[in-house]
Parts: sequence; C-alpha cells; structure tokens
Amino acid sequence: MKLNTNLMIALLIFGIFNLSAQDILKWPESINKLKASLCLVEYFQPQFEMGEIKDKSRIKRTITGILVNEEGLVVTSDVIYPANLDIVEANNFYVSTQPLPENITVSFVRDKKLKAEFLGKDEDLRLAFIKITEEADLPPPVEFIEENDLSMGDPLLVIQHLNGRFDFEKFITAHHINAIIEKPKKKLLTTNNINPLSPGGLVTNWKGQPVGIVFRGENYYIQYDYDAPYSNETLMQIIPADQFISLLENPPVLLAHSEGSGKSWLGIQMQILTKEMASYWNLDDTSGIIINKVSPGSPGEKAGLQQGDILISIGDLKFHGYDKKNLDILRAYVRNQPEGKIQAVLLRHHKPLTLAITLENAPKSRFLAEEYSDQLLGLGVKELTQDYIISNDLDFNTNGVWVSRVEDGGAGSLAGIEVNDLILQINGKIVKNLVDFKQITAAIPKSKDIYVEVFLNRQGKTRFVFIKTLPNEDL
Amino acid sequence: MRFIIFLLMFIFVLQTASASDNLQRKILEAKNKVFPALVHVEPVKEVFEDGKRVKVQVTGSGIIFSAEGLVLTNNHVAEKARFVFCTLSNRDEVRAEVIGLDALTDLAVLKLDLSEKDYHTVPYARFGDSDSLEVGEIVMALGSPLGLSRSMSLGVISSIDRYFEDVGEMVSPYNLWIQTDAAINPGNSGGPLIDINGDVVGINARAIFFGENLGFAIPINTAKLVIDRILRDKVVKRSEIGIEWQEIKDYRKYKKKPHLTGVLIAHIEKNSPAERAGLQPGDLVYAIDDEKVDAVYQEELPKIRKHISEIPVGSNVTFYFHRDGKDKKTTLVTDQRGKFEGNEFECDNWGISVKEITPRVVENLKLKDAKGVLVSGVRIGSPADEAEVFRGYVLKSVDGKKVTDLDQFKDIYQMVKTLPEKGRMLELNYKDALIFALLRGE
Repeated sequence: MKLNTNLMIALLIFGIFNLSAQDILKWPESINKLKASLCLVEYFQPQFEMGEIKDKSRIKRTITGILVNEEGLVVTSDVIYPANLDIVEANNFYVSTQPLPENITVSFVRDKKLKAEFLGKDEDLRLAFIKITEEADLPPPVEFIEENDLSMGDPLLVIQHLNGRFDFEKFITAHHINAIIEKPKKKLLTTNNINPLSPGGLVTNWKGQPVGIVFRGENYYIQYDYDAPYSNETLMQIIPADQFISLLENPPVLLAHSEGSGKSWLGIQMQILTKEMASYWNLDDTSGIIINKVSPGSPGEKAGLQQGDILISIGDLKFHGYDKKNLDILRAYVRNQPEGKIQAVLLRHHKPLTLAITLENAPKSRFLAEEYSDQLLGLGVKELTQDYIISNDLDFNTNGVWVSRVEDGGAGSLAGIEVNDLILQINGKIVKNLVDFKQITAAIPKSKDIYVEVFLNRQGKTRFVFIKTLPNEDL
Repeated sequence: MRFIIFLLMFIFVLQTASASDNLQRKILEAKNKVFPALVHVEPVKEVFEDGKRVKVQVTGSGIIFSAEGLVLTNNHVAEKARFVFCTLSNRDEVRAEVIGLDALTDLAVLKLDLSEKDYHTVPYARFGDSDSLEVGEIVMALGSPLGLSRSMSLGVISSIDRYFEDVGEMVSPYNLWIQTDAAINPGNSGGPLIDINGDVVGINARAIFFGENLGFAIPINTAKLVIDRILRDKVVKRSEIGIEWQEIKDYRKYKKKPHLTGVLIAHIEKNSPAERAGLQPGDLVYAIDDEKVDAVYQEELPKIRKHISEIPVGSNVTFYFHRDGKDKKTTLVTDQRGKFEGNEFECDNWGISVKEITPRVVENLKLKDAKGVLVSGVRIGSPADEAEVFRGYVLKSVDGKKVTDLDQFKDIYQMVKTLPEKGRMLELNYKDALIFALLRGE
C-alpha cells in the first residue's frame, strides 16, 4: 500500500512534469508563419562628424523589421533615425544633426534584398516606418490583435534576429510578463538576458497571436564600431498592440524639413502639486499640476496660462492623487490630442478659472532645422529653432543663424568660430535667417585672403570674428 | 705651441669658473636678502560644500613687505579664511589677520600678529620695478611648493606680456603676466618671484597642469597699487562701464586700414553706463577723455581696462569713437564695479547654503535682477533635498515674504528657521521658471 502511494505520487509528478514539458517545448504552429514576416532591415547611417561640414563616412547597420501590410509597410525601431523631432523631447544638445538613413534594403529571405524608403517615426513609441519600394512577392503581413486582458505571469513569445556573429538567424524566446506599467502608457516588462540584434522584435501571446512589439528603451547605445545597435537593458519593455495599431493604418510621414513630430504641445514647465503643498495652501482634496513656466509664443501663453497657476483638468483629463506620474499622464494626453480648442480648468490665486487653449503642433527640433554649409568659410549653420533659443536663454524673438559645424582647419575654425555661436551679422549686414545667410555669403568673392567680418553672440556676449578666406582649389 | 694652447684653455676655464662663482654669489646674496621675509601661509578656510559649512586648511606662501609685518599673498590663498597661521623663516609661528582682498588681481594683504613675540619688527623684502624687466633675466621663485616650505627654484623670465582671457574664477582683467621657467607648483602661490638683486618683481600665482616649467607671476607694479588701495580703503574700488573690448589686429585688415588706431567695442552689457550713453558693439574708440587708447593686440587690452577702472567712481568720462565712418563722442558716468565673490551662509535647519547675488552671478545665470539669494548647495537627505531644491536656484520668497539680499535673508531665516509640521513654502527661480518647494518639519 505504502509502495503504491509512492508510486502514484511518482507517476503523478512525472505526469505533471511531462505535461508542462510538452507545453513549453511545443510552440504554436503560427510562430513559423510569423517568422517569415520578420525581415532584416539594412541601411547606411551617415556619420555626423564634428570637424567636417559634410558627413563623409557612413556606417552599415542591420536591424529587425516586421511586415505589417500588403503594400510593403515595415515597422521597425527608430534607431534607424534616432533624432528628436520636436522640442519637448529634445535633450541632446551636443549632436544636432542626424541625416536620414541611406540605401535601405529589406530581406525576408537571405540574398533577396528589396529596396525600401524611410517614411517617418513616432517620437513617443520610438517606432519607425519604412516602405518597400520594389515589386516582389511578399510574405503575409503580421496582423496584430489588441489583447487587453494580458496580465502578470502570462507567457509571451518573442521573435527577434540574432546578430551578425550568428548570421542574423531568427530566434525565439519564451517569457512571462513580470510586471505591467499602466501609466502614462501601458507597457509590459519581462526579463531580458540576451542581447538580440535589435529591439524591434515581435511579441506574441501563448497562442502565437501577435500582441506587441519590443520597445527601444533609453539605455540604447548606437555604437559606431559595430554593425548593430546595442542594448544592455536587462528588462525588456513591450508596447502592446493597442498603442500602435492605428499607426499601422496611418503611419507618420516625415517630410523634408517637416514641422516636427506632429504631436501637440502646451508649452509649459510644470511640477506636481504635492499633498503637503495642497494642505499648506488649504486646497485639501485638490489634485493638480503647478505651472512653473509658460514658454513665450506657446499655445499656453496665447491662452493666458500663467506661472504659478494650478492646472486642475484639461479636456476630459482630470488628475487623481498626488503622484508625479500625473506629469507624464498630462504630457502624454496633450501630445496625443489633435490640434484645436481644449478647455482647461485651473486655480489662480486660489480662485477657479476656465480657459480655452488652442493646441498646436510642438515646434520642430534643431535636428529638423535646415542646415547649410558654406565651404569658403568652413562653417555649417542652421536656422534658429525654439529649442536652441530656450537652451541658450535667448529672447523669444531672437534672429540669426547658429553654427552647427566648424570644419577643422577651415577658415572659420582658424578665425576662432565655435560650434553653437549665434551669427547676428556678416560684413555689417544683419543675418535674420538662413535665407539672409545664403544671400550674404554668396556675395563674398570666392578667392583667398578676403577678410569677412562676423558679428556673433557666444554664451550671451557679442564679439567680432574676422575670417580670412583660405586658398582652395575646389572653390 | 702645445703649452700655449694649454695655457689659454686654463685661463678660459678659470674665467668661466670665476663667472659662475660670481653668479653663484649673486644668487646667494639675492636669496639671503629675501629669505628672512618669506612666510609659509596656512589659512583655515570656511567653505561651503553640498549645503554644509566646512573647514579646510590650505597652504600658500607670502612675502613680508613692511617692518611691522604686512604680508603680500594671493587672494586665492587668503580668501574665506577663518584663521591664518603663518610660519616665518625663523620658524616662529604667528597668526595673521586679513587686511584686504582683491580677487580681480588675485592679491591679498595680511598683517602678522607680533604681539606674542618679543620683537615688534620683522625683516622685509624690497619691491623692484616689474616694468623694466626683460625676457631672459634670471629670477628665483621662493615659497612652499606642495607645502615644502622655504624652497627656492631658479629660472629666467620667459615672457613679460603673457595675456590670459578670463575663465570662470581665473580672472586677470587688469594685468598681464610674467612667465618664468623657475619651477612653480601649488603652494608657491603668493610667494615672491625675485630678480638677481633680491628685489621682488612678481607674486607667483599660477602654473599650468601638464605643462613643464610654465609658471606665472603677477607683476609687482600691479601689486603696489593694490596694496596702496587696500591699506587706504580695505578694498580696491574700481570704475566700470560695461564694455567688453576687442583688439583691432584683424579689424585693420578687414577695413584695409593698416594704420588704424583705437580699440573695438565687442559687447555692451545691459543696463550699463555704456548702454545708457548709446555706445554700440562695432564702435571704434580712439580716445577716452584726452587720453588716446589703442589695442592692436590682445595683450594691450588690460591697460585699457585698468585705465578705466582707475577713474574715480561716478566721474564723467568722454569717449571719442568712429561709427560708420563718422567721428562721434559721448559722455557717461562710471559705475562702481560690483563684488566679485559673494558671501555665503549656511541654513543648517533647512539643509542649504545660500550666496549673495553679485553682478557676476547675474551675468552668468542671466538673471533679470539681483534680488534674492542663490542656493549654492543642498545637503543630501535634508528637508530642502526632500523638497527638491537644487543648487543654482534663486530663492525669492519664504512663506510669501520676499527675499531681497543676503543680509535681509539672514534676518528672515533667524525668524523662520524652524520648520513647522505644515511646512515652509519657498518660491524659487530657475532660469525663467517659478518653482515651489515645501520644506517640512518632522
């Protein structure tokens, strides 16, 4: 009897073990089909060089893409074009130039490269869209489903590419949802203990239905000496399909010198109204956001928002609690509102006030500003964008062009022009914008030993720089 | 024949030997003249770090220049000193009092406290004339390099008109520098650079990291004037008009006028006498009152700045200049140049240190005015840290009470330093933003 019990327990354990082993080892059939719709995206990234006025080197890179419609639309990571599009996210003030990727190709099977072009990207989701431009038989596109009841512990499968060492083979890993971040936008987190080729992997549920895409996190390094971008993130972040499914129908298109990310902005700097602050001001039970600054020329300023106002609600967004997350929630809410009127309720000097704000698109970043290189002076200059004005504490109405590149050993560099200088005048003529700059410099004789007077502002102080043109056979 | 050659060689050797003997003797004589007046200076400074007031001891050098014990050293050695401990060359230890500081020339005057000693006079060094120095002259640096007291190094003058642009705390708008290859290290600061006659010709103040044998001394003639003013007024008052000057070396070439004289206005500060007088960048100033001014090269700029700084504060000054091919003139009234370094104060209960807003702070942080106090540090884990107050913020009000300057703030702080449970609301500015921070009591 005792032996039998032991045997039964042993059988039971073995049975359970066997069952779960079967479950794990047998992945759904559809995975193989989906694998075929994953592609390698190869492109050249022009390498920004500080000491040059033109990018001469470029690096070949390979990332993962997912075919999402019959017309050849491929969604991939925005590492293909990592520039910030609007001023809200603009934080990298050292590099300000990001040329578009060149010679993009897509391959679903080895040695069958199809030409493609860059369409655009979503700044917040960090997803980029490219389109295959060559006629070809394409595999079936991936059809994402919005699965809203994914919960903690649910198993997921992730299909990605290995890097060049393993010949870009596709590989599949099994995960469980380890955490769910709800706000400001839902994200699924799971452990990540391998460094795949790119974060643009496809995520399916246990039935093999596509439910999300791997998100490019912040700790993403674009190395210049290696063919693939590199992540050391030990947490994999996944964007569920409901956040990008509408983009697949209507992907963002980045036009040349476009007006930004297409996201809306309010133009305020803000801090959370803490519980203690609310009680200090006798505003118990009030949740809101304190406005620290209203940018000149922004929709917020035009609507009459003021420093010190406490924002209680905007549109159909009301704040709850005192968590700092409310700042992200407001940001995400405003960014995804269409241009046009929206109501805001606020407290000014403890009295409620309703304002109608007309939301506008966030101004474009310096990355999207037009750049012009002048070979004679050995300079690259860019039109002024709001982010340049804000980060240099300039007046809102400042005119000029700013130096984005200085050629090492060029005429401008020898005369002492520095990157970030704001050019105000050339040869006594006022430079209001890039058009003026082009006109004035075009009038300078293209010969050596001519002195050009540049009046500029460097970190708040004006000065004159006299550029002596150099002999150059190319001119 | 061979004998004659041998004899000639012998005479030559003898001669060189006597020449070097002579040089050796002169070096020793010079050293003996200055050595007794050399001072090893060890101030204990009060500085503010991460919102806390802390004490640090530094080492520098100094030179006694009067029998009653006045000592010349660097501002960067003596500034912020709570106590100054000095060791004389006879190894007597005495305290010293700071008589006056001048950050803009990096000079300071101390007075030795001889009351505990049985002597009332001390040996002192003689000042030479730094305007008559020549490149190649033998000089010696005396002091305490890296704290190694009573050290001496030998070299020559490498340059007499070295120009440095002002960078952060390293400023010298009114003087050029004497460059020497006599070894100068940290700790030599404030010590004398002497000539072969034992006269002090400079005050050693700077060296270049990664450079070898590149030491720099403040010309003693610059120091003579500063000492004079400090002994008279305790501070050096200077006139200011709000102009940044630029040399005309390349401007001449651009204008194709190789003999043009004058100095170019590069920048005009907002709300300055120069702005009020209508001067503009690009104006070429050729005379100030009846004195011609001219700076073809950068190293001629300090003398122009110095000239203006020495005009009594509040005087009328007439500028003659060219603009758009026309001769013009304008008269302005000079302002007094503001403090270089502001006082600092620790708010222990709150966990911040605050600093006076000097004109330099207004300029660097591009502030609209000088009202308020600057948060210069935040102590980790303090109520201010919890409330997310950061260094670089300007404190504008406490519980609605406006802060105007450091002295007024100290009074406010004394009244409200304890933190009630409800908290104290600070209003702060950072750039154009108005930020609220609630400091909470336990």
